[in-house]
Amino acid sequence: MEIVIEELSKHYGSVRALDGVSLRVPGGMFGLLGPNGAGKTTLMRILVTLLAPTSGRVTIGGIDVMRDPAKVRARLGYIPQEFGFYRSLNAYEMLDYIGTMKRIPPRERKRQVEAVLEEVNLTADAKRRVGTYSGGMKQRLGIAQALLGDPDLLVVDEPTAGLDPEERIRFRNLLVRISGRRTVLLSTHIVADVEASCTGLAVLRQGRLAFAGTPEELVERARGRVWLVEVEPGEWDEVASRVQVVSSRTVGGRVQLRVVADENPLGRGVPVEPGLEDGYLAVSGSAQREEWLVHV
Amino acid sequence: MSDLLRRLLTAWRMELRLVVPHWSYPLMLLGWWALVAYVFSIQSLISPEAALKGNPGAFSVGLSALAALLLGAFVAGRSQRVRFAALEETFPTGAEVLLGRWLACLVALLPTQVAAVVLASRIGPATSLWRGLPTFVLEAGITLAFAVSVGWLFVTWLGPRRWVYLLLAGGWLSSLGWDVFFGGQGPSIPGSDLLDVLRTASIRYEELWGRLMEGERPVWFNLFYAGLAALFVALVVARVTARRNRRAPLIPAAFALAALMLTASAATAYVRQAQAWASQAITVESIQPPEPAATVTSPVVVDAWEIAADLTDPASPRFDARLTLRAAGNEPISTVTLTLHHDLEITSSSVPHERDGDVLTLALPEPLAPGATQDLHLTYGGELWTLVQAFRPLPDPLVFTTERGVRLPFFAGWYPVPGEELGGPDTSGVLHPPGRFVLTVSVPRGWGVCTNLPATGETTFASDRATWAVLYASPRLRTERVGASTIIAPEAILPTARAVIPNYEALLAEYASFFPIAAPDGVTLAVLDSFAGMADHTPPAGDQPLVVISQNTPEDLMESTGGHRYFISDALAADLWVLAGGDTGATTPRAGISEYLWIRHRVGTDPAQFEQALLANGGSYTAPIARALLAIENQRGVEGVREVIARMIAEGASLQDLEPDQIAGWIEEVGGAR
Ligand SMILES: Nc1ncnc2c1ncn2[C@@H]1O[C@H](COP(=O)(O)OP(=O)(O)OP(=O)(O)O)[C@@H](O)[C@H]1O
Ligand SMILES: [Mg+2]
Repeated sequence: MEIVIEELSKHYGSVRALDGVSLRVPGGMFGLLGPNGAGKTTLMRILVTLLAPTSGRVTIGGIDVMRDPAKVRARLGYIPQEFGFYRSLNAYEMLDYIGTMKRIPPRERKRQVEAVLEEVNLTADAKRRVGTYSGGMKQRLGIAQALLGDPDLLVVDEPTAGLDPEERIRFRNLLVRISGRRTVLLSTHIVADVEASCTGLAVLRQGRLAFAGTPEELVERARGRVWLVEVEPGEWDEVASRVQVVSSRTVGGRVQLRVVADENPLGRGVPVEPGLEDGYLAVSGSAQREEWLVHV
Repeated sequence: MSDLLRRLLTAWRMELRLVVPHWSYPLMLLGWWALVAYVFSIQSLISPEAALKGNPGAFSVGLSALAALLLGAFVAGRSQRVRFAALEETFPTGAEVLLGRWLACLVALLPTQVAAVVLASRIGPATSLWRGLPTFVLEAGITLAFAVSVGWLFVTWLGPRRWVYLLLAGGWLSSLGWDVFFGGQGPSIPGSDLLDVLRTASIRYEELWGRLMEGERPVWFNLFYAGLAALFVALVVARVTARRNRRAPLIPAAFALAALMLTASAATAYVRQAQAWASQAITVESIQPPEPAATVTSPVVVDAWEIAADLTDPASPRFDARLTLRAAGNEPISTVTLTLHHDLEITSSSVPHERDGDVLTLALPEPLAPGATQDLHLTYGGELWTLVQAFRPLPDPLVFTTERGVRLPFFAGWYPVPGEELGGPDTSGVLHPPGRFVLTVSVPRGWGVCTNLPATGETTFASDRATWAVLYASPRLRTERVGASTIIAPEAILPTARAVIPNYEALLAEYASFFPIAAPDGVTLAVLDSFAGMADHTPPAGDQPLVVISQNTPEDLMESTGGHRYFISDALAADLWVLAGGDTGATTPRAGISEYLWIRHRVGTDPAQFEQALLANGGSYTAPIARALLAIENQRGVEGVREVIARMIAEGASLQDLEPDQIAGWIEEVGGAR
C-alpha cells in the first residue's frame, strides 16, 4: 500500500500544524520522526480519516482519503497516541466487539481474536478487565485491535511513549514481526525506535518535511559534522548555545560532548562516525539554532 | 443489511452491558422505584388504568425523563470520555453504532416504569391494567426517547462536559414549572400545555370516559414528541456522519426534515384543537350545579314521555319520542313551548313546529281545553357537543355524543321538556313537573347505560313520576345488582363499589326508621365522572334512593371523614324525604333533618356530645332544627321523631319560609317538648 501525500496543510487558526507536506511512503515499515509539536499526530490523524486537512491531497493505495474515507477505514489499523478501552470489559470482549465493528464475519472473528491475542502475548490475560492492565499491556492490546481485520495499513502513533526500556524493545520487535507485507507507518521522537526496523523514514519539523529517505541517507546528512569535544564545565553553556549537543558525559572533571556542527567546535573537536541520531538532529534542530544547521 | 443489523445489535448489547452492571444503574432504579411507590402511596387511586394514565403514571415517566436526559448525555459522551473515540471512529461503521447505543439507553430506562406498572396492577382488575398498559408503555417510550435524544444532542453539540449534566437537570426542573407558567392560574394560552413535556398539567383521565375529555390531543401530543425525538436523533446522526464521511448527510437530513414536518403538523393540530375548544367553550363559574330546587312553570305539562333512544351510532344518536301533553292551566292553549337542544334536528313531527335556538314551538291543530291531552310524535337526532370552561386550564366537554361515549345530563335538552328553561352546568338545575317516563335504549354491543330511571328490563327504564332524566352510555359502563341494591359504574370500579354497598344499606336502614315509610330495600349507586350533569341531590330513582358519586374514589366515601361521607348521608336523607312525599323545594327543614341524622349517627344522642359535634360541624345554619329533633328523641324516642318528621313532610313548603329557629320552635310545639 503506497501512501501519497501532496502539499498537505492543516492549520489551527494561526498554528500551522502541517505546512505543505509532500511525501511518498512506498510501503514496508516507515518511520515518522519529529520533535514534540512537529505535526506527526496531525498527519496521522489525516491519514486515518479522523481529521480533514486544510488543503492538499492524500491517497492510500490509490484511494482518496478525503473522498472515500469509508474505503480507507476498511483497510486500516490504527493505534492512536492516546486511547482507552471500556475498562469494565476484558480483552477478549473488547476485541470481539471491535472485530464486529471491523466487519469480520462471526465465524472468522473468534479465530482472529484468539490469533491477535496470541500475537501480542495477551492470551493469558485475555479474561482480565482491561481497567487493570499496565501501560505496556494496554499498548499491546492496542496493537491487537489494530491487527484485527488483517489491515493493509497500520498507523502507529508514538507507541513506545511511557514504556520501560524492556517493554519498548519487545514492542519494537513485535512491530517488526507483524509488519510483514503490510505498510506500517510509525511515528516517534525516539530515534532508536526506527533505527532497527524502518526501511524508510521522514522527519517533520514545525509542520514541514525536513527529510525523507532511507536511514542510511539520514546518517549521511551528518557525515563530517559530528564531533567529540572536551570542554570545561564553564564552557558548556557557550558551546550548547552554538551547536547541537547530541550527548554528553563527564570524564575526570571535564565534560565530553558529542555535537553536530558544520565547523570544528572550539577548534579542538575530534571528528567521529555519524549515527542515525546525529542525522536526525542535523535535520530537525530547533528554531533558534537554525543558522547552525546544514543547508540541505 | 444483516451485517448492518449485526453491528447495530452488537452496539446495543455492548451499551447495555456497560450501563446495566454499573453500580449506579440498580441504585438509580431502586431510587426511582421508591419515589414512585411513595407517590402511589399518597394518592387514592381508582383503577390500574387511571393510575397509569393519570398523575402517578405521568410522575413515574416524568421522573425517569430526568434519568433519560442524563443517561443520554452520559452514553453519548462515553467514547470520548474513555478515549475510545479515536479508535472507533476509524472503524468502517456508520450511524448504526449510534442508533444501537441510543436504543440501549431506551431499553435500559424502561425498567424504571416497572414500579408504576406493578403498583397499578394491585389497584384493580387486570382488564383495566391491560387497557392502560399499551398506552402507558408507548407514552413512556416516547417521553424517554425524547429525553435521551435531548441529552444526546446536547453532548454532540457541546462536548462531554460536566456542566452539560447540570444544564440538562436544570432544564428538567424548569419544565416542571410549565403548568405554573402557562396552565392553572392566570390567562392561559390554549395549546401551550403541549410544551408540558411531563404532562403535569395536561392529564385528564376519567374512569368512565378514559381520555375522551382531552379529545384527539393525546395523539398529537405523542406524535409531537415522537417527532422531536426522531428529529434530534436525525440531527445527531447528520452531524456525526457529515463529519466522518465528509459528505452532505442527505439521508439523515431527509429524515430530519420528515421528522420536523411530523412535529410541526402534530403541534399545529394540537394547538388548533386546543384553540377550537377554547373558542367554543361556554365560560362558567363552576361545573357543579347546586341541587335542582326549581321546577319549570309552564301552562303545558307532559304527562308521559315514551322515548326510544337509538345510540347504535353513538356519534349521532336518533330518538323517537311520543309525548302526552296536557293543558295544566285554566285557559285553552293553542301553542305549546318546549325545549329541545338546538343541535338535534327534527326529522318528523306529528304537529307543525317552529324552532328558535333551543325553543321548540308547536302550533296545535285545535286549541287544547284545560285538562285535555294531545299526543305528539317527534323523531329527531344529531350530534351534541357542549364544552364548558370552568376552573381547569382546558375546557371540558359536558354534553356529548361521540364514538367513545354519550353523555346527556339533565340540562342537555335531549328530550322535549315543557317550558323554556333548561338550567345549565352552573345554574340551578331545573326539573320538570313529574310525568311517566319510559325509555328504551339501544347501544353498541358491550356498551353500558346509566340513567336515573329505574330499570324495567335489559334496555328499558321507566318511572311513573320522573322529574328529570339523564342518559349516559359508555363502553366502560356496567350495571350490577348486589342484593337489593344496584351499582352502575365503570367496569374497573365495580369491585370497590361492591365493597361499600353494605355501608350504604346500613346507613339507609338506620335513617329510614325516622321516616314515615317502609325502609327502601336498597340503594342505587352510580359512580360516574367528576363533572356536572347529575344533580347534586338526585331525586330517588323509583322507590330507591339514588346516590350519584361524582368523586373518583368510592372507597373514600364511607372510610374517610368529612365531606364525602357527609355527602352520602345527606343524599340518603334527602331521598328518604322525597320518597316519604316531602317537597323537593323545602330545603331548610330537609337539611335540618339530614344534619340531625348525620350527627346522631356519629356521636349518638348524648346532648353534650351532640352539641360538640354540631359545633365541630361549623355551627351550621340548620343547627337549631337538629337540636330540636334531638330533644324530641331524648324525650319520646325514635317514635316521637318519626311523628315530627311526618308532620314536617306534611307541612313541607310552608316551613321553608321560616327561619331555622322558628322551625325549631315549631318542632318543639308539635313534638310536645317541654
Ligand atoms: N486541535 C488542535 N487545535 C489547535 N492546535 C493543535 C491541535 N492539535 C494540534 N495542534 C497543534 O499542532 C501542532 C502539531 O501537533 P501534533 O500533535 O501533530 O504534533 P506531534 O508531532 O504529534 O507532537 P508530539 O510528539 O508531542 O505528539 C502543535 O503545535 C499543536 O499544538
Ligand atoms: Mg503526537
